[in-house]
Amino acid sequence: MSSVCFCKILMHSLKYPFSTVCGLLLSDKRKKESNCVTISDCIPLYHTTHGLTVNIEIALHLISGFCKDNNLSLVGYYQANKHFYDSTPDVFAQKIADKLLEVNGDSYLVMVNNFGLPSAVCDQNNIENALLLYQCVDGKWKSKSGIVYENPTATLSCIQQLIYQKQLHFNLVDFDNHLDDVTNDWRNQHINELINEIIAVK
Amino acid sequence: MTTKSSEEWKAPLTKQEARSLLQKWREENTRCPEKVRDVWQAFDLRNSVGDEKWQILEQVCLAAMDLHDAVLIKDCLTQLDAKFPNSSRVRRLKVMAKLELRERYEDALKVYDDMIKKDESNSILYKRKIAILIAQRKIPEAIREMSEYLKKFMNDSEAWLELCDLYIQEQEYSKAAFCMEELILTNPHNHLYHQKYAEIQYTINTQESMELARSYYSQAVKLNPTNMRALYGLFLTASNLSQQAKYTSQKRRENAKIASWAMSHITKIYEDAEAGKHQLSALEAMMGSLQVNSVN
Repeated sequence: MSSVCFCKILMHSLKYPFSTVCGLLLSDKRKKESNCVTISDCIPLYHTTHGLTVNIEIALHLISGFCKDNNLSLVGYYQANKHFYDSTPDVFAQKIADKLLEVNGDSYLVMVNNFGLPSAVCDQNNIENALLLYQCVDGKWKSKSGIVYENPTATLSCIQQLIYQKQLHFNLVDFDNHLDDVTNDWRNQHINELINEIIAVK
Repeated sequence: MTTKSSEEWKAPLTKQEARSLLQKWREENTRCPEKVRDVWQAFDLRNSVGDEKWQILEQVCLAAMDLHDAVLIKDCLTQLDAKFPNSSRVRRLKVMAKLELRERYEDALKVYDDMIKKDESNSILYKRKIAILIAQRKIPEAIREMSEYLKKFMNDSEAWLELCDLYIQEQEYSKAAFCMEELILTNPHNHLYHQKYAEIQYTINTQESMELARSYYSQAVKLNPTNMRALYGLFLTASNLSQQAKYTSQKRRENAKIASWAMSHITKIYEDAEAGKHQLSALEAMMGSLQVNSVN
């Protein structure tokens, strides 16, 4: 998983800690490898309408067009539950991931591990506590290990800088923000650039 | 889109502006604890705001609880307690800080029950109890309590919305729809209520509910022509119905017309906002994938 994707998932969760937030995981088709998937970016979707299908459909229609034009593929779905102690995928997360699987043949479900997050962002030895990975085995979503993070040291210090010191996560745009005002761009290019700049310096 | 850090948005504020910002957040029930604490700590409002100080202290105290800032919580509570030693409002804050925050939920429930006995019309106390049930993940119990609460305080629209969301979580969509019906009755001019009702009907996904969704999305668009969720929703429902096999071809055509009407409005909003080329090409792709044009 790229630094950009990891940072943005955390920014989205921390922008709306009181809501269940969700988003889509993207992979660059040009960097495809045989036995692993590089999750290069993510698109934050919603924080207000959990459990209703229509807005997810709107986003999926728009984003699949965007992916086609940019040589990206949709490889999964992430969610952060609003309840602190519950980081398991609920029925809605599973349904959306099922749907992605149906369309793509391969799909990952990533849950933000609320409870493990504080220790993960402080110490890179604990970074694997931040996110939980699920994969579909025989029709059921099973917990798997094995997210490899790109450049963990730089990524974590980037998170410290952007979120804790500057509180820039309030500027992250998700699809809800976009539908409130269409000039809010869900690609978040300015945030991607910022993250890449910081990582490049480290 | 500008990217402002917390230092940058705070810097140009005057004391007066900071004060009215806090007031706005209080009135609108905005939950932004980081900003409340930032403003409180950046501006010394203690001696310049008169009696408003106590309301602000309560607000800061709640923000501090959200942030688990023990020092700030204690600071606020000490001041409030000294000024209002017998207030039930301060007592509630103390229960929240000392019991709820430490997850001593059963103890907190006992105190709230006690307090309700002395003050039966205090709606916030009932809501605290429901909040505890939600925190304990006892959703069916929370739904039951909330329904009881709404028998007493029928006009609480936020509570109806919360009950609606609880039902959605439990996938009881027709009950969630009922909550929205109540809200539409209390305020038929609120486009957001119509929109949410339509979203629930869309999720139920039968032909009948799709038709309901279409009408309520239309009403939402009529009340607010720039409601993007309603425009997109109208587009999706109408294009869904335009493929409905049971319909006569005339009815299918009518729906296709509605869909392309909605899409033309969506496109216009993007163009007027100069939202950028990639947004428009994403729209085209969406239209293409739903094949609305071919029906026209």
